[in-house]
Amino acid sequence: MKKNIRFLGLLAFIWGILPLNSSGQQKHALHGIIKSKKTGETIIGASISVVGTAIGTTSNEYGFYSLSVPAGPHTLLASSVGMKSAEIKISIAKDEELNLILEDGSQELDSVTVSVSTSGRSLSSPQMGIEKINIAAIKNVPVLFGEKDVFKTMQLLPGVKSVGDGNSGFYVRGGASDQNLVLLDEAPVYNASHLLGFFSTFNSDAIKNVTLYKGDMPPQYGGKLSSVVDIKMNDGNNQDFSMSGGIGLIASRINVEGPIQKDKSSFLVSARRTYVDVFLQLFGDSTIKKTKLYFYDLNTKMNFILGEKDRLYLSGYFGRDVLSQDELTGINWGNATGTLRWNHIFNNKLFSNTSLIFSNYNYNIHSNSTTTDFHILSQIRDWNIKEELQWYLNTAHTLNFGANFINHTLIPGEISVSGGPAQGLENRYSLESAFYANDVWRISNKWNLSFGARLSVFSILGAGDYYEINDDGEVTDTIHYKSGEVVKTYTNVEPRISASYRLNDISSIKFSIARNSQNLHLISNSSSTSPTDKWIASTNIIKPELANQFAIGYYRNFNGNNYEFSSEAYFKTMANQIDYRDGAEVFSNEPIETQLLFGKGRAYGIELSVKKKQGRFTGWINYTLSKTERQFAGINGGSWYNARQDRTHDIALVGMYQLNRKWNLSATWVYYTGDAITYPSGKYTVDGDVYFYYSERNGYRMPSYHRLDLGATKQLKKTKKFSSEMNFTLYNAYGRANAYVVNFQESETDPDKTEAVKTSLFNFVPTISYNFKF
Amino acid sequence: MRVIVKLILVSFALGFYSCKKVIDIKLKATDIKYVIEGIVSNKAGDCKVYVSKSKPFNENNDFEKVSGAVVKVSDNGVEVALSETQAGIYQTNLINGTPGHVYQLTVSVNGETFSASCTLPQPVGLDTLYIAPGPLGKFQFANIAYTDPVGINNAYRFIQYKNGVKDPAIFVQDDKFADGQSVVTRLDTGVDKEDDPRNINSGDEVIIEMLTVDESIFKYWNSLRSAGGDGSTSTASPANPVTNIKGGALGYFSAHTVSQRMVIAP
Repeated sequence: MKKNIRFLGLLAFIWGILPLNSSGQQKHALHGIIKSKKTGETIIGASISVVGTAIGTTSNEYGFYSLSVPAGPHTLLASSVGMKSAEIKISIAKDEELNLILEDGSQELDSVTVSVSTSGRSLSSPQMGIEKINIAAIKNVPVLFGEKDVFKTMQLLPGVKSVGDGNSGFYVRGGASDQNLVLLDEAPVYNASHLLGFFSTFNSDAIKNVTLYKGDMPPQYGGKLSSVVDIKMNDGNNQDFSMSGGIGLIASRINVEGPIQKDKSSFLVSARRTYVDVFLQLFGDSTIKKTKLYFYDLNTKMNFILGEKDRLYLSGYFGRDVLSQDELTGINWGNATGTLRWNHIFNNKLFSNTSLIFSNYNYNIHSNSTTTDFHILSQIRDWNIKEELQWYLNTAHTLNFGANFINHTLIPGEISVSGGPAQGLENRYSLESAFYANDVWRISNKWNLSFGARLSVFSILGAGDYYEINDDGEVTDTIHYKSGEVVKTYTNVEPRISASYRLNDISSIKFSIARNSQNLHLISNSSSTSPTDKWIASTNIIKPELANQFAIGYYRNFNGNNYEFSSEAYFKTMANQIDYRDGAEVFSNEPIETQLLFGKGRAYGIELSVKKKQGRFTGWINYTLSKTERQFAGINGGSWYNARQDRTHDIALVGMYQLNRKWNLSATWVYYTGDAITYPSGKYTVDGDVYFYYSERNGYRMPSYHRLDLGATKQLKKTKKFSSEMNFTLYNAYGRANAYVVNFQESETDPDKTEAVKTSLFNFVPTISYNFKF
Repeated sequence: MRVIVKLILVSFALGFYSCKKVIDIKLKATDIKYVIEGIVSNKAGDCKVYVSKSKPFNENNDFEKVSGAVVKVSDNGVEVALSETQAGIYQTNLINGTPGHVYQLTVSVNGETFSASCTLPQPVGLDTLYIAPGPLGKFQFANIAYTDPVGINNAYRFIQYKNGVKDPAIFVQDDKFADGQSVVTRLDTGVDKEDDPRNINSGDEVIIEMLTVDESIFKYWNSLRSAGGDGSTSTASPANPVTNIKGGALGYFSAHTVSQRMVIAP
């Protein structure tokens, strides 16, 4: 015990004293906000450094930066992806505020070289498993139906796998599709897909920045095991009015933004609607004509700069999907989120963000016919208050700490039948709290360390009935709790540690250890993300899911910073994983715990990636080799089996070529091993009909998936006031009939034989869209 | 210009539709399983057990019937031995299925023993049966009405016969959302093609058999239908149905009541 105290004391001494060793000079704090000249938008992740020293930082999610600079004259270098770097001469004698402005790094009119990014993946930063998506760069990546889609593009990144054709769900490092936390301006979005997964809910016109963390996220994030997708919306041009939009074959969108008071406040409104139903009217037969099939998205935002130290943001998102067969039967679902945020700069080193967040996701299924009449409603409603503090202590330490409280109300499936009273599972209430602290410590020029932890406390609250269940899934006891009474509290400490070692100017190695817990679980019984998948919270029986992930990586830049090579290997163990029992009833008013089984998971793999960032030709190649398995007593005889999302190989090639001033060509090729799937191993007869017998769970593979997409964009007009372009896409250019689902049925030619039939969608889908900007 | 627009729209529409194709799958050999179907109904002397074997997937549908098994059924503890009347079919007329009684089955074959237990529920009959068009207006389906007894857990299975031929669709219902109520349901067989031989056409004789079944049998048919037992659903993880037979055999042992109604389709 005494030894431990002495060791800790020594560590604290080193921690405190190291920065002072670097120079005997007096240091002053330099802070400010970095913005774009053209739109006034704050710039996230801009690199700001003092030339000739090791002093540097990156701007935070609100464009704030803070540096400890020694007294005297210096040159400050500020740069960011897609912007022209700026050099500013400064002379420091005391603490100062210096706001920085960067100009767009747009294509020079005389030549065709395009600089995609100047500051990309950082070799020194200890943060691993991170991918930043540059919204401007993904503009030309061809996607299904020509809709520029952040999620579809994310599926082209290493370690990220697409759920399937047309689906915008994704798996990260072997985790299930509900293990990804999707945040839109801090608000969680529970179902980020439209039309059963064919489109995502994010209108790219309104998005500023997308960052993906693959499991080793810093402690300010928590709540999901596998990843965090942090999406930040544009604030709204506070210099000039601007309007942009696009007209496509499936959907159209429009974006309007402008200042409310120039330099001080601005607004942004972005809307998108599809008109697939119009096409069905034209081509379908009489039954299809009555079908309604549409979705819409609306993003709204306002922000106000209240003096030098304060800024207020109010944002909202509303989206809905409607699918109905006729007036009688239909399903609709959607998300609504609202955030109110207050940035406050306490002093030149301490930045605070306080957020009040509301998020609501629900789906409605209704079926009224002459014989039966039922209505199902399922909903998650969150009220969330969050406080984050960032303390740029000195050159060596940047501290980040805060707290987060979310009140969840889940209506897991209220059913009313034939005009009778609404019955179903009870509402569930819970309070998810978290406290975190993190230090990014620049130990030396070679070593950087980020260490911290998140304390997650999940309290299950009444009112409600909670149960005791035996091994066969039968209820043995029911306990009633009053409103506000605590049923159970789960506490988890989640350490997040990562370090980087700079080998030389162009390469580094990193490693990380992270633990995550998850208390909201999506129980799914279908092969594609369907809105009828159920979200449930942990209960006295359903424990929080846990994951431990270890990762190491090697990174190297080639040819200046033009080529980036990254490799990361990971190993992840998961506990308290959930699945349905065999023969479980998805819609029933039995307690959900009677239909579930619990088990473990493990995933490991290696991700390799090469990116070319500059020149007329840019793009990337990714290859991931991986395995994901699960083990449950009661499934597959208790042996380890492949998870559905297990895919041995996953390859993505993306290339974009600026042909001349008017034309940009692009192509994407993806290949992945088919999903693990359960095929019958025998058949038998019962009551005169033939049925299939299954022995191994997920013991077979769907056929491999591969596809080539081609795209071309032609710049039509480009003046200072107006620009427009036409975009052509050909999805699945060589028409590979990838298997969407495989069914077994009687052969049409020989009824005595059974055969396997694959259904594939989307061969040769061409699209045209027209985009404009004022 | 118009031609181009039309061409684009047409090619787009073509791209939107899906296509199906038969594929070759290599399936691994697996153990052959015994399949037992045991039935005790409330019709006098109706007690039979079918014993057969499963087959590898890519062989034909001629399933092997198992002879020489020792099959016994007990009625509230009173055991009766069944005799093999045809290959693989074991019967007795000494058991009269009575509501409320507990029936047990044992089958011994080739050194393996399988057993099951089932309670015969109270009878509930159909109030009405009529044929009416379905929601799309194009096809006709059987519609039934019955009154669920209040206060007891009931479960039902419906079997449709068209001109004497059994329709393969599985219909099961329980009373979890409709206890004590008058239930009206359409038995939608899922046919969606005009020339499907399963369609109910004018003049067809339609018989609906209504069985009141035990909870375990409701679970069996429900899980057989929803877990992809017939290979046609797109469930994420097809699995074998939950059987009430212990010992590793496929199939079920059902003690149930039967009633039926007949109607001629208009």
